[in-house]
Amino acid sequence: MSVLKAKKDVKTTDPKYNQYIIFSSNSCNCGLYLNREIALTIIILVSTTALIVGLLYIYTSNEIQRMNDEIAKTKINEVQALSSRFALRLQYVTGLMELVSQTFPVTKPPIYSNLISDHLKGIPQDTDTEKREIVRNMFDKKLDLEYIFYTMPNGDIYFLEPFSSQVKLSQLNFAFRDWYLGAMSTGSTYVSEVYVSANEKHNVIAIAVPIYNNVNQTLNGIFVGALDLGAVQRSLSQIDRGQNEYFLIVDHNNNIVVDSRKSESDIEIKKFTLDLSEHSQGNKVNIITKAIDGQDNLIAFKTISVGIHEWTVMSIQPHGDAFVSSAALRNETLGIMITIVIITSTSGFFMIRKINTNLRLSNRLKQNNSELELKTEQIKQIDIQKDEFSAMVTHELKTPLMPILWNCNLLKKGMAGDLNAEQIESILSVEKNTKQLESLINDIMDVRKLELDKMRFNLESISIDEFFSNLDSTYKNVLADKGVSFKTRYQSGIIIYTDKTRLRQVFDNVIGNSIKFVPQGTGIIEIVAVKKENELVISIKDNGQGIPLEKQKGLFQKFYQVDTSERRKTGGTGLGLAISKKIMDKLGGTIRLESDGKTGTTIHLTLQIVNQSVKNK
Amino acid sequence: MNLLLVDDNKEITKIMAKYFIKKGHLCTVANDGHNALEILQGQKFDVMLLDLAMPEFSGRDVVMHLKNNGKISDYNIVCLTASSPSSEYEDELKLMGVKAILKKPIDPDALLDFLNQFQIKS
Repeated sequence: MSVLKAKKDVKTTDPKYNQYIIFSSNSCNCGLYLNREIALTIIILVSTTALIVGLLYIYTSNEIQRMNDEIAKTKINEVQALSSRFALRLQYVTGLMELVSQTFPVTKPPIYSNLISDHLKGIPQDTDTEKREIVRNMFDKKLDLEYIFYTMPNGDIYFLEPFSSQVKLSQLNFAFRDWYLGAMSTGSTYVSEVYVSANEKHNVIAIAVPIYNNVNQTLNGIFVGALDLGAVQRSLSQIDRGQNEYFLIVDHNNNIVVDSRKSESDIEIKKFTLDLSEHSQGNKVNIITKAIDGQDNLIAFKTISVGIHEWTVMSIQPHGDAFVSSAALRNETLGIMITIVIITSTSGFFMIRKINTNLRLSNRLKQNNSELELKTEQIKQIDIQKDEFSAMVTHELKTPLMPILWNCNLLKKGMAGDLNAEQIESILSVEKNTKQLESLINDIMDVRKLELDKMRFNLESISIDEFFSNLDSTYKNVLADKGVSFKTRYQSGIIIYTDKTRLRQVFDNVIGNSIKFVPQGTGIIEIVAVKKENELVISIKDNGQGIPLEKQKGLFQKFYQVDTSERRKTGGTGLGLAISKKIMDKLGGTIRLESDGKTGTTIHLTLQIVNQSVKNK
Repeated sequence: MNLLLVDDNKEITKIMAKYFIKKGHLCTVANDGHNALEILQGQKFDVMLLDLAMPEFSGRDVVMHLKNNGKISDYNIVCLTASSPSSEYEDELKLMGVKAILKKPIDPDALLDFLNQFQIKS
């Protein structure tokens, strides 16, 4: 008892135990269980997302770089092609001009120069038709020369074809022109900067070929062709361009020779203002990014040799337009990344919430469990205490019985001195009542044990012959003295496996009841035991007054007696039949009452007869 | 017979002694286990009536002590108990050397009748 008490104390006063409960309920109120599982989940989610996003970034960066390189390469090829085309064109025209300039009659000196008139802006139409004829033939060759002319060494026009344009010239002398000055200073073919043609219709560049006298190397004149840049521009305009991309050809004086954006009617010559010289890398196409009017542009350019000068062919495209595809890819990737992050964080959020809920629930469960454990333990303790209490109580109740009964025995036998009849009667009364008390205490103990399932049964093989002969020896003669006939009838040789003492208790109880109610002098109690299949069927019959049907119902319940007046008259606790029923239940048998309420009562018992093999358990 | 009556309840030992003496037997009374063991060392008895439920040093403790000293076979021990012990408990005691375990309260004549079988014939 003392050991158990100590254990109980430890359980309820253990601070660590209580602390656990308090801690749990506090944590319940706050938002997140920052415990390992959630932290782990977050780490995994974040690192996975970071990994995916990182990989995506790396891949996309490579892609974008590749795309950008492709775009650059395309631009380079474009500009390369463009510059080649233009250079070739120039070379072709220049080559042809030079060829013609070396053929007779162009090589002949301008012998009709005295016929130059200011009015006609040169020699008359029908003069020096040899030369004029040659030149006119050149127009068929699709050189895009707007006009071709021959000047005197001093710059005066000798003749110009077509003649209609010659008379429309604004002046006779063109010694101020770039082509003149260039040709004169270099003494060889010179390609001029771009300028507006004399008829103010087009932008032209002049290819001037000085023609020298074969004999004395004096200058005969300058053979010039004006290349219509409109045609060049037209052909350039047909090249596939990107969004907002335009091509420029810039001459040695930073004049814009060709602008793919320009309409043919626009003949204003603009200057190219950017300085690309620092980025120029010789004969290759260069690509740089430069700001024009505040916007970044991708400029691919190449220098080409035009005569003694260097011109620049370039493609210009706003940076955004140039790299629109890679920018799109970057934006797409960004979109994907953001989507991934949103998805992971949203699912992460729900996942964590779920985990959190689960954790909270499991914690609450744990808490409930521990509370339950505590309560269960408490109940067990109470049960044990109740048990021990009732055991103690019954033990204590029984203790005085022995001195009482022994003293009565002593007294009634005259061992403490002689007693008179009255005194003996008193002693007997004390003895009888004490025995009733003993009986009641035993019944209460039995009921308690049966209720708590604590009654222990010693099962053993019992011979019915022996059992019944014991009954006979107990009751036969004693009852005969009272005028009650006690008869037993049984099949011999039956063995049952049961608790001898408890079965006897049932019989004693039933027989005891019968004894109480049979008529004096003519009472009959008859017990019959027969074997039916694998059951032993016993009937205990008396010829008492019986029990009326309406009173039979609750007979096997505790404290039930037919009549309270009966109880007072006959004694008994009313527990007997209840105990008997419980015992029979536990022994695997049955008990049943049969009575017509007039001629007597029969109690029917059944018990299992077990076969040999089970017997030896 | 020479009887040793051991029970912590003085009322019981008093009435038992009275009865047995009146029936012509010799009785020695002990009200605790240690006392009983001391007495056993000095005298010889036909039977020791031993109450099981005693505080501090129980009847079972007495039996165990005697068994450990190897003296158990020298004695006829009959145990009395007011509670109903399990059969395992009873068997254990019997294995240790207890001759019988009887339930209290017991009829005095029946008890005496039972104890007569242990009378040592001289």
